[in-house]
Amino acid sequence: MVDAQDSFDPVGAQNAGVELSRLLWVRCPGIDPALRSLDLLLHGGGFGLVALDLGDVPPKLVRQVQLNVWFRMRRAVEDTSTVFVVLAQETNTKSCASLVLRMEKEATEWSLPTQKTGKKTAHTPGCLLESSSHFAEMVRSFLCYKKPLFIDRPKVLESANATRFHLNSNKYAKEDLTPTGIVSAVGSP
Amino acid sequence: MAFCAIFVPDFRLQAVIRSEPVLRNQPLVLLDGPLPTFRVVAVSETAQRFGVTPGLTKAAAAEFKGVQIRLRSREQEAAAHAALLDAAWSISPRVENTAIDLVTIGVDGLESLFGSCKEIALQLQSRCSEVGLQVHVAFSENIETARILSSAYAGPTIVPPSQEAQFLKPLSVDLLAPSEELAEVLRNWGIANCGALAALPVLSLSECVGQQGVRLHAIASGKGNRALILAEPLHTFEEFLELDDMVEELEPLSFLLGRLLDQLCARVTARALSVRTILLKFELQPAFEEAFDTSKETVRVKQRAGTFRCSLSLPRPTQDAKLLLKLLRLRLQDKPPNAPIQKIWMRAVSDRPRPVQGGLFLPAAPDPDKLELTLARIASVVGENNIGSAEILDSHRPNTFRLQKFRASATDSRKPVAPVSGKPQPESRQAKFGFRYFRPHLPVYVALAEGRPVKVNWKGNTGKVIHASGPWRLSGAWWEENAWQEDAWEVELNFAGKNASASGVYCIVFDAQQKKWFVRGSYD
Repeated sequence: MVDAQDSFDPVGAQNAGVELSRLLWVRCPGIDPALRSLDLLLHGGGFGLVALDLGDVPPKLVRQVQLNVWFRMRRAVEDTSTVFVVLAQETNTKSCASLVLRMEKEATEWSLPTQKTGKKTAHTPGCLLESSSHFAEMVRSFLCYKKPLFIDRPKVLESANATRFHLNSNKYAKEDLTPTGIVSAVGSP
Repeated sequence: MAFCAIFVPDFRLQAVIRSEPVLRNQPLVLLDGPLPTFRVVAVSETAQRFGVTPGLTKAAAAEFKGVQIRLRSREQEAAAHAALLDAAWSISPRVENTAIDLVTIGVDGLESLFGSCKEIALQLQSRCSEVGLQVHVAFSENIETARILSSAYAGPTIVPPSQEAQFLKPLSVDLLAPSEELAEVLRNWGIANCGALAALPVLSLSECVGQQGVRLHAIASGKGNRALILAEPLHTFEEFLELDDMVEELEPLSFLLGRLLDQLCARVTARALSVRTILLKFELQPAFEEAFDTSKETVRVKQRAGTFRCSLSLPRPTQDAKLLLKLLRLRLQDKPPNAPIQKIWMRAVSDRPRPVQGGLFLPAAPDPDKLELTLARIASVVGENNIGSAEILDSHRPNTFRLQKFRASATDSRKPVAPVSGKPQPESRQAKFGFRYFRPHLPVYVALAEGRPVKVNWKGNTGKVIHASGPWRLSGAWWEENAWQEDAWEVELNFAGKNASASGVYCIVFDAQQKKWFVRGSYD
């Protein structure tokens, strides 16, 4: 896990099922050391999954990374069992990526809407962050041909390559009330 | 019982040559003695052809052009002696530390491993050569005979049983190391070789020169046998290097470190061990700045040399000198010594090698040696404290963890889910929120209404609070200096205009110690 902005939450990852002793976390102070560390990791080889988190890096900075850098990374993991994942606000890897997924948060669900918190007290015990609904769409895949789709195009919910899912709060999720994490799947990717 | 004596001729010279292999074919003399009257104490064969003899002063020895002059180093001699012992232990577990330049081993039962005595001798010479020593080897049923023959002949010398006296017959009695008085008596008697000494009647010899004469007579007759005094094997390996010219840069230093590591790894490999930890110590150039500062009227005394220490621990023991050198280079790149280097000590702590059997159905894991090098390289980029695997600490304070050294394991360490009350629990498939920390936390201005946040100003942008959940009051360590207390709120912020993309759910915290609001992070 190459963390370009040092934003990784180990407690949340452990709650989500990550075995922290098997996770190598590289805390980088910026995009340049992150890319250098990533290059060393990929060429060192042997990891099952290498993730580069550029989620908090401003897109204009990530755009400055030249395409040959991504080609170099792709070349390093080609013909190996390593999966290389880049998380960013925009797609920057262009044609180097075998699979491009777009994921957006649609709404956040609270246990009590604002207008119903009638009592103006210091505490709001009834209002809890419960879950959020997300939209995911496969923009491009080498394994599954589809029409080219532009990032800024409006979402096509009926697309066979799109899906919706819910994420639950770590603290307050009630497993008996929510049967499964994926509540709506439109089509199958 | 058969014994083998391993003798290092010109030991003091070889100890220096071992550290500087370039000197092997050059005329070399060693100086020793109290300062400043150094005297030549050892002369190589090529230097003898130049006419250099022991006892010359340093100035006289320097008159011979082309002769290399070095100071005798007892640390290097100790390291060479330890290397000789290691080479001996690589052949036999029964090793006697007879002298600094001589070890004796028991070779009974080694035929099935190495073959005949000649093949054992070749193995010994080969292994001693690997640790940088040229040795003489002699085999005999008698320890003392083997010892004397090894110092007399280049060998390998193999003495058949009960023929010791014949081999010893032409050798000088000086090889038996008699005392000065006895040597003078024998010289007066005209006894020059062992054969003449063995021919003397024992009873008369005892009456004339005492028990020492009887002992030497027995040795000269090939009958002076004794038991082997076994030495205890050591698991720490040390090498030393004293530099004529101080080293300042990493590149020439890495050549020297590489040479020391080669020697250490050769010794460790000879003992069928691996290196677990490398400890490095440099003696640095003394500081002259204060000594030359006339304004302070300080005495011009050479300041005491500083030392620099560095250690390297490996998760898996290795015998690869190149890997160790790369790791040491990376370590020294990060934390270089702050003065030129005069002397280098290197110590290796050994461990048993651990071959790892991979599994077909285990998750992919990097090669431990390669991983160690990769981690060291990344650590040189991001810092040593910014790489590892996270360990959650036992605390209620959020964001409390520490990074520990990442260790790849080829085995699957995942614990099986224990069934509760006999029924297997279904795997939880609920996807959870991800959280992104802002490290360090960003200070924000929060507008409150009725004790609840209604607006959050952050980097000049004001977000309206749509939903707020809290306060989640946490505190701890109030009994310590680093007490903490905070009120955390989960708020959904709506930013208007061009900052609309920043809208989302955040965690804002009021730090009761600092009386300030911060944004801890956002929900992904």
